[in-house]
Amino acid sequence: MNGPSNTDEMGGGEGYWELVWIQLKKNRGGMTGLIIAFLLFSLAATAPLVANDRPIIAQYNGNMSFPAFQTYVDVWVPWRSMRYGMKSFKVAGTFPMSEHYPELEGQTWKEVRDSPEMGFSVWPLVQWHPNQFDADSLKQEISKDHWLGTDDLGRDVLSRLIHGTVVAMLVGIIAMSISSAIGITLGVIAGFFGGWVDIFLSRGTEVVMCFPSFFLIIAVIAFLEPSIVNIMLVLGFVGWTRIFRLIRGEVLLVRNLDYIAAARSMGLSQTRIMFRHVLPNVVAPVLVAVPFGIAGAVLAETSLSFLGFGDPSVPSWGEIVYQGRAYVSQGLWHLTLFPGIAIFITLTAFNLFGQGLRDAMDPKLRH
Amino acid sequence: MIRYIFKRIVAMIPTLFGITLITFFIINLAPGDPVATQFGAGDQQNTDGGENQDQDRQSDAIKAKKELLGMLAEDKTVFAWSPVAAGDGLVAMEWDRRVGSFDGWIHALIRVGDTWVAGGDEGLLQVLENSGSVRSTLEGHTVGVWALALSPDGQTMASADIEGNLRVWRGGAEIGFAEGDKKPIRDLAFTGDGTGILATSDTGSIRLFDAQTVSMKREYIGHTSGVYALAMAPDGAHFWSGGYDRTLRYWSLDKSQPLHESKDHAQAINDIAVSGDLVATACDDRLVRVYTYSGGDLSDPIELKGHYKQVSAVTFSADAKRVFSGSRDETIRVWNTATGAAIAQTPNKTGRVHTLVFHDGELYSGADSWSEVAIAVRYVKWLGRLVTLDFGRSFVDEEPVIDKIAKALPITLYLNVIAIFLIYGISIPIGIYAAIRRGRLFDNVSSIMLFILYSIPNFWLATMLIMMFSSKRTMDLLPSVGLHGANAGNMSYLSWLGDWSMHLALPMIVMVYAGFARLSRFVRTSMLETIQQDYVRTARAKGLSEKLVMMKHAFRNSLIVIVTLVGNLLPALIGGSVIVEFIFSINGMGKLGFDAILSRDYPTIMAITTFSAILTLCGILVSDILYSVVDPRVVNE
Repeated sequence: MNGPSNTDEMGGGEGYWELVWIQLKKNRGGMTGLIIAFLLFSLAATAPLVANDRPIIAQYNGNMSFPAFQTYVDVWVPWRSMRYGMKSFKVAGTFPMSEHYPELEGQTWKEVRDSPEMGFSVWPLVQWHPNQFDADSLKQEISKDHWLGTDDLGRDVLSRLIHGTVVAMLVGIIAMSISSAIGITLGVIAGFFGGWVDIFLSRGTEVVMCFPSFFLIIAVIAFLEPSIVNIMLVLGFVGWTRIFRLIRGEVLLVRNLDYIAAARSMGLSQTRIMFRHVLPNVVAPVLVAVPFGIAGAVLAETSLSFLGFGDPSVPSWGEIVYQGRAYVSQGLWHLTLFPGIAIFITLTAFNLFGQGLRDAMDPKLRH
Repeated sequence: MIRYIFKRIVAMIPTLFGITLITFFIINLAPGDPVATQFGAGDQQNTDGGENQDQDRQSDAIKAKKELLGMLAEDKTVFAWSPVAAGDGLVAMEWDRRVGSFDGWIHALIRVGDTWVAGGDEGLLQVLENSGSVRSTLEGHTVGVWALALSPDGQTMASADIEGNLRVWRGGAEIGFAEGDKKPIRDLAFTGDGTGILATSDTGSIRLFDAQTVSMKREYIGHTSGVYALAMAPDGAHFWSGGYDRTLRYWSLDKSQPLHESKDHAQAINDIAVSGDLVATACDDRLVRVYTYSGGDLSDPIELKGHYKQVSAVTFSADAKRVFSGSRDETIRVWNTATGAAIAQTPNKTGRVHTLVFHDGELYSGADSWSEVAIAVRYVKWLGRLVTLDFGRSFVDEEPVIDKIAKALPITLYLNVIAIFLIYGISIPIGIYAAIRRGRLFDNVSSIMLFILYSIPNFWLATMLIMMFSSKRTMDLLPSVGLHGANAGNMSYLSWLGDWSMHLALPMIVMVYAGFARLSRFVRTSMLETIQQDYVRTARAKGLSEKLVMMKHAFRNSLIVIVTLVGNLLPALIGGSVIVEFIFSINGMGKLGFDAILSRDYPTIMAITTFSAILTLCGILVSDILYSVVDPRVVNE
């Protein structure tokens, strides 16, 4: 078994990935992790339809509208200015992005729920918006209305947890994409060119690795304005060193193989060889690093939010724990316990999946 | 072996260099002005002649902070200014040349023969050529010289410092000395016949010394507090004085009581200039006053309004038609003596003027100006100080950063050392046992448990632990704040130890559990790998007991991988201590850094980042050395 380098001959690389998939299916922990991760992504993708204070579909005065979908802009667009821009943009009729529903005449959807004008409606599972203040139920424990209680501003914890999935997944994916892009590019360049380029890049990586990265992240985040985007960017720009080292090592192994020499003899350009011939054969180890990287980014983001550097307008799990910390002595245990469990499940899922993937891709463990 | 260690250390130098580079530039190019953040306002220049003293004080404080950060540098210089004449009115003050640069502020400047003599906070007197080159220095004073005077015949010079020491010089040599009373002499003047030297005192008296013997001959009593300025009248037998008590007095040399007194000034008088019957004063109330004195009362001065900060120096032109005044508002202004009209001024940011001398058609100023320091220069300077472990002073309380680190580092270090011992002490046996009993119940259960531990976020665990063990609602068992109880100072050793370990319990659990989970798994994997090796099979085949095989053959070899982890564990623990110390209010490095970040204490942030990076490098070095000890092959590579 020659591992990844066989992909080109085997046409589309199905052979290798099929083997990995078979191995992964045998790994119970890995599969559990994968399934939970998939569920988390699905929850994040449908968060506005699962927890919201407005119906998914509503027929009001005979007009059909889809109010819950507008929350997608709030949730899935992390850039604040872009969010405002998109909300002021109105698509005719069916998909109003704007908050205003003139036909409601200033009432909320909940208030008109039982009115005679309301025809047919489909409501989300949790009928609270994550940022909706409920002055009547501050610091409530578990109740019929609020299944996981409310925080000090009366916001529903369950709804915030569900929407927190979006934040966690966004941070995990974007931070990981940034660090993968940087790590892969630099790693291929360092390994492929070698010499001074390699020395320079490897030394640079060593410098970044020696940094007290969490401390540095706090420093940078504290100087920037609180925004989830900044957290993603900073985590992405700090976390690429591991991928760099993995890729560089793989490239060093691959670059002297015959098929690279063949590509050279055909007179292909350096860039083409680097990215079309070397890169596809070295990315496999990065895939193992991805789940671990996502887990790391989620942990870092929740830690930052816990320290109070998060974006207060975004429901992050860490921020709920941060709020809960202030009320520990008042017995608001639900503010601490539930987000912690959410973080724990996420970390476990991605760690399990990563481990399963690593085992599946390790030729030594294959029979 | 030593060569190997040396080689490793040399290889670290470029890395360290890179770390300092990134630290410095990230922190210094971070958006937002740190000084403005501290003061809640930008550096506003008050140029409208406003009355707001708070603003002045604030902008001075901002400057001081910026200097602390090295963003601004003081430039202590004697400048020469050429008044440019056009027609009969003077139109501009033009910068001519720099006569000398100093390390301390220049407080006194006089013309002696064809040279300048300057005294200042440096403590030594510099004799300068007109071109600015230093001809010689007169050594004697050890502290700042604030006053200089020249005898009428131009042969003898007197100097006085802030400890009140008076020295008399002639021909470049010291000829007389009077020990001071540790209080500054702020001004000196020779009497008209050159036999006496008048010296001010902060107690309010003016003293007359004999120029030959430098012994006190007479004391003039009248001022109620410190005297700041003296000037001889043209007749050589009378003199003027002014000071903190806001009075200007006129004295005769042979009377101990003042002849006249003026109470026009609203603040302290900093300088007096006399020319013919004209007397000009520089006052903290931002005005220059010009009196015409002809034996009668001192009244109705011409008030020269324009400076928006305290005026510190004043002098007349040779023909007395113009008055020059220098102020802390960093300008020198020129006034018409007769009308009091402002004629010209130097550009803004000339520097805070301490002394002014008019000589040969040119004005000379001793001033300290501020200039922005280029970021590259600041970096080089910072790096230079770093080599001597001088991290500067904290931006918040101006305490040296190194002292803060010296207080915080031991706490973090001992916590980490205990944590590392605990981690190794518990996880190695568990890992070995799990490897030996691979696939059995213990292995499976411990694997799952450790995996769960590994995925628990530490801040959450800490909050949960506090909620469970130190909240009045549940179990109030363990303290959750700090490392010692309130009265730890009075405890007996045993109860102190008990108190300490109670405080330590929760933080330790939080610090240890993740490393413990990781290391146990690591030990297990590396044991499993060695167990499969041929030499273990050989040992078994020899008939050695299973215990001996495991301990001596398998475990010893799996140690190679384990020791390399020490180096990786150290930085992770220090990074992780931010959260633990934040939650449990422990004043270690993490808390110090966290607080520094919140208050934008740049020197401290930079110091901690660099320090942690150095510690990380040390960790790597230690693990390399340990590696070379357990596996000597690496040294020879």
